[in-house]
Amino acid sequence: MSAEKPSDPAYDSTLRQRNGQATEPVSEPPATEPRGFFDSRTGYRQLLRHLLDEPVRGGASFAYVFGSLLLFVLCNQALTGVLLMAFYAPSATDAWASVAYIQDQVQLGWFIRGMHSAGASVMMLGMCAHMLQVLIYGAYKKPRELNWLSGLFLVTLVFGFALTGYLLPWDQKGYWATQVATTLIGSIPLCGSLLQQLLQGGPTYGNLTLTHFYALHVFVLPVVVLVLIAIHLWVFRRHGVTPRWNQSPKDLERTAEPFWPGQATRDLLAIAALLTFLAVWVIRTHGVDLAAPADPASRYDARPEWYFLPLYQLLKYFPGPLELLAALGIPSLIGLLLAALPFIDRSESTQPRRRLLPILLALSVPLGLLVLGVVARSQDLQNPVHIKHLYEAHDQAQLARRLALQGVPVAGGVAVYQNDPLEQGRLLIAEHCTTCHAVGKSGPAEADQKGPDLANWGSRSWLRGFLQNPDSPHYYGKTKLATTMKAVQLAAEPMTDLVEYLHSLGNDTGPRSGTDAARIQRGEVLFTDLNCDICHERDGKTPGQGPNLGGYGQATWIRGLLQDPASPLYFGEKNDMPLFGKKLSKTELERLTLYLREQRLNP
Amino acid sequence: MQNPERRSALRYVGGLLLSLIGVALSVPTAIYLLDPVRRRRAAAPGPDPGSAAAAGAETTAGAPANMEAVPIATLAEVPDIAQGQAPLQVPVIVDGQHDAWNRLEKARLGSVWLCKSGERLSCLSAVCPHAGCGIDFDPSRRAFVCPCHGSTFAMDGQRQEGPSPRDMDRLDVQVQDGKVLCRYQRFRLATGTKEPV
Repeated sequence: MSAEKPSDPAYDSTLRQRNGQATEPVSEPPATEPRGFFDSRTGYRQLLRHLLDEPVRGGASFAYVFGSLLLFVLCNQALTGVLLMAFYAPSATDAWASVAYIQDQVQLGWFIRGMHSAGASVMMLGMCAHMLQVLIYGAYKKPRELNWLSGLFLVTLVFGFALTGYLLPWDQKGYWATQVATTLIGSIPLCGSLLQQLLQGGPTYGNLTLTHFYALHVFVLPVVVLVLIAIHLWVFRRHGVTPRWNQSPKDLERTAEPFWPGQATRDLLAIAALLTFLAVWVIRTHGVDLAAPADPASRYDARPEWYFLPLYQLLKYFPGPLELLAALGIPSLIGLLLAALPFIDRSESTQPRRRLLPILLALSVPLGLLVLGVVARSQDLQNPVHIKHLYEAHDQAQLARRLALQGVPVAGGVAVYQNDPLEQGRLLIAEHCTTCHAVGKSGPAEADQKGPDLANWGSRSWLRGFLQNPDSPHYYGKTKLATTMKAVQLAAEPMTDLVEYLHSLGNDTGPRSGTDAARIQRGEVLFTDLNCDICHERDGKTPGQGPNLGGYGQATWIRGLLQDPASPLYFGEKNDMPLFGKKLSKTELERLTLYLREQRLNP
Repeated sequence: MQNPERRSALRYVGGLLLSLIGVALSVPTAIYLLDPVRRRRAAAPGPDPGSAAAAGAETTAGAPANMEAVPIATLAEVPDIAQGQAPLQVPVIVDGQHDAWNRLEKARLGSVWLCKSGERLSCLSAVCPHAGCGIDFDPSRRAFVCPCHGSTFAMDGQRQEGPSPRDMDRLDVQVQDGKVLCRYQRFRLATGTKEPV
């Protein structure tokens, strides 16, 4: 019987009939069975049977679950993707704010977004597993070349999804990492610049970049993927699974069984396991990170998502014009080689031992990628500057997201920082003060510092350190004021009294209004006993040798200092500081004052 | 594999797995999609001190349930219909309004028809209770007319003819330091009774 031969194109339907009769006569309903309302009008049962009774030659196996897993991950991406679309706005002003809203305010938003992101990672891993299986089973061989090629195409498209999706939150991470990709496209000879501008909707990033990427991500790519998957599955159904190499055709026929329930249950079991794994992963990590809103004026250590890390690392080895070769040439070459595989390896046998060369060659690709990825990661982890930047970026992201809870101003993105007057002060400090002043760990190198450290300025610990060693570089040692004041030498207790007194000067309710009145009083006595009052007046209007300490640490005092530090009430002739009253607006001065005033409340 | 009992058991396992996967996907989906509805409800009785989201005030577009009265006009501007003047349509503009992720400055919530008859102030929502169109004033008929389906209302907002199920919605107004303050609200449409949304 010709139907016994698997090469016969008709074997598939013959086998189904044979199989149904031999193993389960009840699965084929008798022709007389009444058909339901819908079935008699649509014939859906026949379609269902066609889908479910696909014969699996050689019997069901867990080795065949990868395709179904990928299909499931795709469904996961589609579902979570549509859910995200329902709360997302693709515009440069709204994208970050809407994603922050999804992440931090919509119930289970973090979970849906996490599932979408983790799904993308799993898709990459699943594709690798699926391809390796195809490779080992020799499933790319004749007559399944088209299956292999459509699969490779799908891989490319998945990378397209990853690239376009990474930008959509419009956060620092996506913004800077995607810049690298579009710049590379722009460096393609001849058509590169045009291509880049078409893709990003103009010469620079903006609203149109997001709408373009969005259109690609949620419509163009999905449609192409669906078409390719249809082809992929159609060709797959035509030729069936590629069974293990050690079974004779006769065995295969004998052990064939329909897809449902044997293979289907295995697939579903694998899908359930994967879903559980994904959910646990997402819950444990509380979904995926969201960096601070994209800020073109900032600096950010751009790193791609892990599946692009190998490519990222490759760029480091190819300087200048060779970069394009690394970024586009090498992946294209690998793609072409993989595409040519079924045409190079034309032997009949699917026995892996006889195909060692192609298998090893193909295996070297993921291995090479793995090595590159690991090198990239370990270089980053050994780079203290990068680690420091990572922490800063993390803090920035936390701050932005906290402020976004108050609602993001319509200007969008970085305008979220307007919600925080203190943050405004911090930014102003960074812009105007850190050329000379350190603020904790940030600021200029020690050699370039020209004023005291502003972190915790006016706080008890700051005052104590200052009194004990005013000429330390941490305080006024690098200013013209150096050596004008003697270090205060006091035992621990009286020193605490003096510090408490000086700190109380900054209280809005006036000096001596602190919690420890007795201590403050003793400190005030010490102030005169130690002759501090000879140089430092405390009435807020009489000039002296040193700054007038009336209201020292209060908003008025700080504002006055910022406006005119050369006033005789402050540093007088010994002033080194710019007169910010002339440089900054009133609001900016207020914000700086607020920031500095906040410092004294630290321990 | 050929054993029919085993196959029927497998069918149950397969069916069960399929249902479980379906539930696992649809429950989070439903919770997520219901968020705006929950938010609306949470807004109604006032901010919930426990929830972090409530800290950022409320977020759905439109007027929050506990909106404060905001100035809409000066008392001097209010036309007196007893003297034959036409009522004045004024927008209600509010600061700090939330719309999902945005905080809006000077958000336009809607508009009201404002007038007085002698000393009595009258403030009517311009939203037609029938289908939500913007009600207009027809000076020749000295009546409010909805341009969509032709409902007409008397100067005091009383329903005269047309499909509107109720009178125009009256809003709370008060006068403070010569300014007219209005507590703007939206009401459910197409119902006979006036219930806040």
